[in-house]
Amino acid sequence: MTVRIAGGVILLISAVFLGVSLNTVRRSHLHALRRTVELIRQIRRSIDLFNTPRDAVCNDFHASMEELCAALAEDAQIVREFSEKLGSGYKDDTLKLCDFTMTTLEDRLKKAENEYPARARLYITLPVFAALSLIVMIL
Amino acid sequence: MKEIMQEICPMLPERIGEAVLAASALHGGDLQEIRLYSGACAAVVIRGKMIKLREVCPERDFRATVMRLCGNSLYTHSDTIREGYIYTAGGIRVGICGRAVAPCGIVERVVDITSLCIRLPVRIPGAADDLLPYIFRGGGVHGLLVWSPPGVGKTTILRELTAALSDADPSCRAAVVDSRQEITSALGQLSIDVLLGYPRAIGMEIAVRTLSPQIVLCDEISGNADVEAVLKCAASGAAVVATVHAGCREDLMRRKEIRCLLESGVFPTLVGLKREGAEVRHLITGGQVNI
Repeated sequence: MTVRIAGGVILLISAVFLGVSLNTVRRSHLHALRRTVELIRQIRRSIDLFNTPRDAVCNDFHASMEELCAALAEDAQIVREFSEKLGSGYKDDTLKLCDFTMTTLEDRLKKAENEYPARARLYITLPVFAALSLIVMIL
Repeated sequence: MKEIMQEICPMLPERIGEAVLAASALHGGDLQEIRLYSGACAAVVIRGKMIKLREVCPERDFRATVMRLCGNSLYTHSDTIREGYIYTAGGIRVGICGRAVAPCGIVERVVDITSLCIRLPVRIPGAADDLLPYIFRGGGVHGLLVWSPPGVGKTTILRELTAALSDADPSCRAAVVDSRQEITSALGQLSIDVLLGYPRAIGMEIAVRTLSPQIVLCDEISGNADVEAVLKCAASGAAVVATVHAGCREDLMRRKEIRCLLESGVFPTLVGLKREGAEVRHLITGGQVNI
């Protein structure tokens, strides 16, 4: 019986951690999306106003890029494509690329922000309820 | 040349860079141009002769090379691309060829670039020393016109004259109009005025108006605007040293604008360049109009 209770407690704690972990990942994803949009906005401004070469404007961008792509999950592909194409066109094409990427990411950010509260509740409650159900069945 | 090759080879696809170095070594150096064609064999020009390499430049590698030459920022080179070239960070001029977008007959941009001509700035110190006595004589400064077919070395001579005038002692007030940023590349810091990227006629006018030069140098004069600018320079008391394309002296004399300049006495000395193997001979004649 003691073992069962101990197992149940461990299961409950694990479920809480799982929920918190999923929630953290989702928050990091939102944060990364916001940061990426802001970075691309800065890149666009530099190119539009000062015709700054790509390597100069992207120094910060590339330093953070790997870190951002890890957190962006399914949205990382858009950022990688943007990075590949940046600099390969004339100014108006480059600005359009920046606008297109920003708009796409902003749409995804908006959708993610709208869904976040419900997801957060789900991530916290679902694992806990599942663990409790299992505990009840075991006990 | 070694520094130039060290700068340009990393920008080329690896196999082609190695082939270029090998071809240059095999043919005794004097590499003048590297030509890349998208999806076709690359070539080099050594002493005026085009030598095709076996290595093909795939389209993907070609596009990557264009990007490297542009410093990964095509948009920062849109002005020069409209004029048909890219100027690399290291000062090397690359002629480009592709599909022009030219509404109303004015090239707005070039897309689908298909070939590159990388012209290496050749330095032959002392190559123009025999021309200096024709410029500085009788206590004054006199003009000079260098002519030859393409690829024989007019720009190289002009480059060496520019270097010589910069180092001249006593020095003179010289201005060089380097429209395509070819003349002064590989020369380092100079003690003369350099108008980089200015259209030829406008650059000459600005030089005369603002820099009070004793001598103005420019490359490849052609057309009425250039002729007028040269005449204005001469009228202001500045000597002009210029180059012009011509297959032979007869071709030169047949050109109306050149005859006009010669008749006005702007160029008391004509220098024809003739390639004889590895050497380039100077055929120095007076600037009289005759065929």
